[in-house]
Amino acid sequence: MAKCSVCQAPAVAYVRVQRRYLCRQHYLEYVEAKVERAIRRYGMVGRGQRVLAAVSGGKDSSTLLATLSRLSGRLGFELIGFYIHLGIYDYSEKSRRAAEELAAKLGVPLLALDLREVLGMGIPELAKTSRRPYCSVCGSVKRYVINAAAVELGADAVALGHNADDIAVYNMKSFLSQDLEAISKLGAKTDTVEGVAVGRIRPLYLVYEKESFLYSLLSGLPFLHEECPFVDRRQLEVELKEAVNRLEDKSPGIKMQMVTRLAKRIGDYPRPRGEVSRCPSCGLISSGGECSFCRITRRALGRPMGMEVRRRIRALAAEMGLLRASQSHS
Amino acid sequence: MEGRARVRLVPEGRELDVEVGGGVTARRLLEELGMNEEMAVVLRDGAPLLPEDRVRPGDRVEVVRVLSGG
Repeated sequence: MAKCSVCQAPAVAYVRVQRRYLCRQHYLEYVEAKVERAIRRYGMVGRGQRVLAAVSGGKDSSTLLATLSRLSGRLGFELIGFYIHLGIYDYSEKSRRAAEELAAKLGVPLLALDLREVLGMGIPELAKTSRRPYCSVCGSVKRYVINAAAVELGADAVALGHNADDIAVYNMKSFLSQDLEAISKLGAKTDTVEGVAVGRIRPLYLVYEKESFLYSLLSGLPFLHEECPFVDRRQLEVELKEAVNRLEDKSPGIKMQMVTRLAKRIGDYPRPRGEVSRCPSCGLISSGGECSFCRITRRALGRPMGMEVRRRIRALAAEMGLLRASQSHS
Repeated sequence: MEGRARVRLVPEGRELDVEVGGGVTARRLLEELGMNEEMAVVLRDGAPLLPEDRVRPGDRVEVVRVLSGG
């Protein structure tokens, strides 16, 4: 039986890039060290800062919240989890339970927003009434609501669960269509635009998708291993993910090379043109005129709902005692 | 069931019997299923198998695809 290369205990995983076996304890430490390295190398978060981690109930969220929770004491930052119930039938119910169990197990406060309580509908109805594709509406809604929560909570950064495989695939997809501006957003962190958008960090930037799965599994953390019913396995991202992992199988380390070099050269890619402005309806970031969330909700419900979302999050945060002192009277 | 192992594919939930002869490695099983060890993990009794661990006739294993879609 293979033994851990550190302590000689029975091995549970083989790390191909390093050609070594690890036991459960040392595998968990190996993944946590990767997250810490990414946070330090890319200057993701500073001492005394507040980080809002977006969690969906899946394996990457579990790994994200657990590793950040373990590192928050040593690195001196405050961690809050944020979950959005998207109203996608049974799938959202299961993911909500997984997110709540995870946060409870880790002792991390979790703010949960149910989209249906604010909009009176979830993603499926919103997509139908606004006559836009499900995944596109879902992406816009999540981006908006997560940013709104970060602004209302006075967070210094939003942590997302994108792993190295996700970054490699977004990079390849954008490269294929020569959308270089999209590649400029794939770094390990994005900047805060004061008052309208909170910068995003990607602590799992150096963690492979398989490592993220094994971390959650070996930690005994709750997570939902089920796909959203709207995911189409024929879509380009899925094909690219398999393709990049066939390359990785032949040349171990190629994915890591891609993401670390991307992070190094991120400044060479052109930023999206146009001014960053403030949505006239909700006051948050927009690329000109009303933001996409306010436009979608205006189309579906007859009025923009950004301000309603912001109010609801603020009320939930106040109930949980999570508003920062400087914000509670503004 | 001589020569075959019962494989449950996750997250699809589909089950199939795979010919494993006198036993195949987890790595070989994944290859038989058109996958590799970057894409999926083989679990027996909920615990991950190492690439060289053998899946034997009569075993029940789960092959978990770790790559999420979209």
